[in-house]
Amino acid sequence: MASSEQARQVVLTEDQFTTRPYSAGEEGIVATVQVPSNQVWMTAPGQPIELALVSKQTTTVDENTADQTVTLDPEAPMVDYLDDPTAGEYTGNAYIVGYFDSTGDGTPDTQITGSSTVQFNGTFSEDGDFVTSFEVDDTSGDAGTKDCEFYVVQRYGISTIQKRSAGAGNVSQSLKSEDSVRYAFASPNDPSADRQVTWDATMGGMRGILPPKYSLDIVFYDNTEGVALDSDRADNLTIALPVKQRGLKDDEDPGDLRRKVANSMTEL
Amino acid sequence: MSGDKLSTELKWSIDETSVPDVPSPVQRWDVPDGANVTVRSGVVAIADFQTADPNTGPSGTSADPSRSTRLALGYKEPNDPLGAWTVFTQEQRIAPFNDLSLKDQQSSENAQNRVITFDPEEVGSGSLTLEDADEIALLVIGPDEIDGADSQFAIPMEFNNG
Repeated sequence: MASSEQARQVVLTEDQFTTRPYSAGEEGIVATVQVPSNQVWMTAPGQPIELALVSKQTTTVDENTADQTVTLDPEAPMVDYLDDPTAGEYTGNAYIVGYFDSTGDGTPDTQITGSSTVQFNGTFSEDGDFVTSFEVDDTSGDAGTKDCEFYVVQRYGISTIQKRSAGAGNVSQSLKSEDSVRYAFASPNDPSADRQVTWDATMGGMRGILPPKYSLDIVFYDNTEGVALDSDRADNLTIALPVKQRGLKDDEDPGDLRRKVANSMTEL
Repeated sequence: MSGDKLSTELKWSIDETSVPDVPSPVQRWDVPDGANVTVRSGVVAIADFQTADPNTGPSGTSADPSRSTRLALGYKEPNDPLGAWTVFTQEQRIAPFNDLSLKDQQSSENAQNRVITFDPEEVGSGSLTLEDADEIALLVIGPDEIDGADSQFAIPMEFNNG
């Protein structure tokens, strides 16, 4: 529990967010988290942000056939801060994660690794910093094609982080808006790269404050491409937003605070 | 508001395919109703261009436009004739963008070749504000058809609603 006087910095991650479905062509909230009723949050100016939204791509593979090419559309950005399947890292945290239907029940829910029945054979085609296609082998002897799903970091579209007031007639304000590919190629962990995407330094004032019951949303937009964060298997969805949290002070009225922040948002 | 980008991913950006050997847009931005957009000279662009059809060059078949392609930004006011873009930035070669991946371009070190500089004869002040119904375009001239839907371009801007 945050103490009432001292703010501490925490990183909001994907498991704290509620995800929502998205269809291409709309500007929609795809993930959201609400400030608890007894806390105040503030964005941490200058701190790096990680954001990798994933789309779902489906294909079928033939039984007992090696070297089957899966072409990605759109292609997958090779994200520095996720595991690299081209280096043999076939984990749930890679920028391409695959599942196949092992039981024939129509749900591809068995992860594809280097040794699963449908497996990566290690061949990946790259174009610059993107993976365009790769190969899988099906080592099973049973008849029938298998449905596969691949969760791939989305390179297209704009991803906006916004705060939103609670209740009817709510207002929202953008806190950070970048092309998805910029978040994908941000490098928060490499000391020699200056490719960080950070909270703007201007966020120190009222703009960065989220009073109790406000929401912090991830909003996605693209005209033709979608994201699929609401799937149980979108394990490689990555959200890491550094925020400062503190408890509500004794002399603070949450309603006053909300009104003050809402007024500052509508003045813009 | 700070932090906004004039980019090919915006809702109000329109994909175009350029016409070979004619100065023509690959992307247009139609400033939304009630809004205005300010762009400044001296900002670093991030860009990647793909041709509509794979071309055959010395290095074989690829979707990279010819290195002789040049690009610039232009604007058009509502009463300007169709297709009459006023170019307001200095022409740039495409090579500094297409030689480096989008990832490497995000590093702002040694970015001099990717700085967008205004043409002082068109815009003296180093900042240009476009009102609603004005359009901005990313214009190219080169031997290939460049596909706006498959290309990426972004520069910082200030976006004001009302």
